[in-house]
Amino acid sequence: MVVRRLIVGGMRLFGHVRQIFATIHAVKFARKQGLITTRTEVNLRHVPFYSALLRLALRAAAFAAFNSASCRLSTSASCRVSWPGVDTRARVPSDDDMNQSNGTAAPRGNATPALGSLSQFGLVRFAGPDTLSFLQGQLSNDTDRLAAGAPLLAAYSTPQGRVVAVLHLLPHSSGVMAILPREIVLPTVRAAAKVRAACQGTNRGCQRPIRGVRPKRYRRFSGRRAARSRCGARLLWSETASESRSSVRTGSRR
Amino acid sequence: MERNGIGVAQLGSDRQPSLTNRHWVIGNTQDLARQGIVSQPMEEPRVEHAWRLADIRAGLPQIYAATREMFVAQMLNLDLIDGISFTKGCFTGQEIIARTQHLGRIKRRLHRLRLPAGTWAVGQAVHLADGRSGRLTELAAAGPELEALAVLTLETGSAAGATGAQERADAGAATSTLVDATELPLPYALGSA
Repeated sequence: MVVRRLIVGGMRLFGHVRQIFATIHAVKFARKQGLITTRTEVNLRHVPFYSALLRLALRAAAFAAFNSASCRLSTSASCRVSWPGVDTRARVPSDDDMNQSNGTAAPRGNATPALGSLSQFGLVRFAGPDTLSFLQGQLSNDTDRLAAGAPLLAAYSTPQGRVVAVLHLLPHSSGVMAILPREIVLPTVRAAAKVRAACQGTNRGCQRPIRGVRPKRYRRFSGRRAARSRCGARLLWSETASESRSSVRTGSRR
Repeated sequence: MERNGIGVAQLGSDRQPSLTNRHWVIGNTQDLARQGIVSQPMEEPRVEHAWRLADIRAGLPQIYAATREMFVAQMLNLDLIDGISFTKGCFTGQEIIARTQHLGRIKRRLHRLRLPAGTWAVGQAVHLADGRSGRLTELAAAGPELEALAVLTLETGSAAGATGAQERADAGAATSTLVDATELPLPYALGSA
C-alpha cells in the first residue's frame, strides 16, 4: 500500500516537474517531446495546483494576522472596568424595554448590566500611514472626526453609489477598526482591495486627488504583506472565531 | 477611547442621540478575560437578537450579503443619522450620493415595520397594501410578531406603480410578497417624506 502510494506520488511529482520543464522551455520543444499539445493546455494544468497552494497560504496568513480578536458588545457602561468619559447612564435596552410595543423611547430605569459577545460581527482593521486618507477617499463620512477620537458611522459605496457596507469605525492604537456583519467582511475587503489596486493617486470619477495618497511600489501578494496596498493602507480582517470565544469561558487556551 | 488595547466606543454620535445607549467593547479575547469584562457573557443568540432589535428601533441600517449594492446611502437614512458628510470632499460613490441629495430625488427611505409572524428573509422584496414596495433589510422577532426595517418607496398608490415595478424587476421574476404590515415610528423624522 505504502509502496503503491509512493509510486503514485512520485509519478505525479514527475508529471509536475515535466510540465514545469515544458513550460519553462520552448513550447516547440515540448511539442517535439510529445508531452503537450498546446500551450494553453500547460497553463490550464498548472493553474489549479498553484492557485490552491497560494490560496492556502493566503488563508493561513489571514487567520494568523488577527485570529484572537473578538468583537463584543457592552449594553451597559456600568461594567466592572470603568472607562473615563463614558456616560455611565448609558445602558442596555432591558427586556422590559424590548417588550414594550414602541421601543423608540429612551430606555428608563436600572437594568442589570449586560455584556455579550456579538458573534454576527467581524472586524476589519485598517492600518498604515495613509489609512485615514485612504478611508477619506472611500467612505461617506468625514474621517477627520475619527482622527479626533470619535467613533464614526459611514457607508462604503460602489462608484455607482450603491452601498456595499455600513461600517462602524472606531479609532484604535493599532489602526482603525471597522465593525460590519461577518458575512460581508470578505466581500468588502475584496472590494477595498480592488480599489487599492486601481488607485494610483487619484480617485477615479473624481477630479480631485485623494489627499495624501502616495502610490507605492507594487508588492507581491503574499504573507503578512498580503493586504498591504499601493496606497500605504493595510487591511487586516478577523472573524470572531468560535474557538476564541470558547477560550474565554474555559480560560484554558491562549 | 482605549485602555490596555481594549477599545470602548459608544454607538452613534452626539449628533444622533437615539443611537447612543449602546457600546462596543473591542479587544483581544484574553485581554477582555483578564480584565473581567467577559466573566459572565450573555448567551449569544439572545445578544444577537437584542442587538438587532435595538438597531431596528434606532432605525440603524445594516447591510447583509442579501442586500449588498442595492441601495443608495440616503435610502438607508444614513443622511439622517449622521452617516454622510456632504462637506468632506470626494469619495467613492459621492457623485451619486450628492446628486441624490441636492436634486431631491430620494424616492425610497428606510421604514420600520411590524410584520406578522411568518418566514421572512433579509433582502426579500415586499409590497404593502397601500401600494408602497421595497425590500426588508433587517429582521428581529418582537414578541409573537416581527419588527423589521425595510427600504420602501415614499409614494403610495398608483404614483409608486412605476417604481414598484422597477423594484420588482430588480428582484427578478417578480417575487414580491404582499405583506400586512403596520408602520412603526422611527426615532428621527424622515425629512423629505
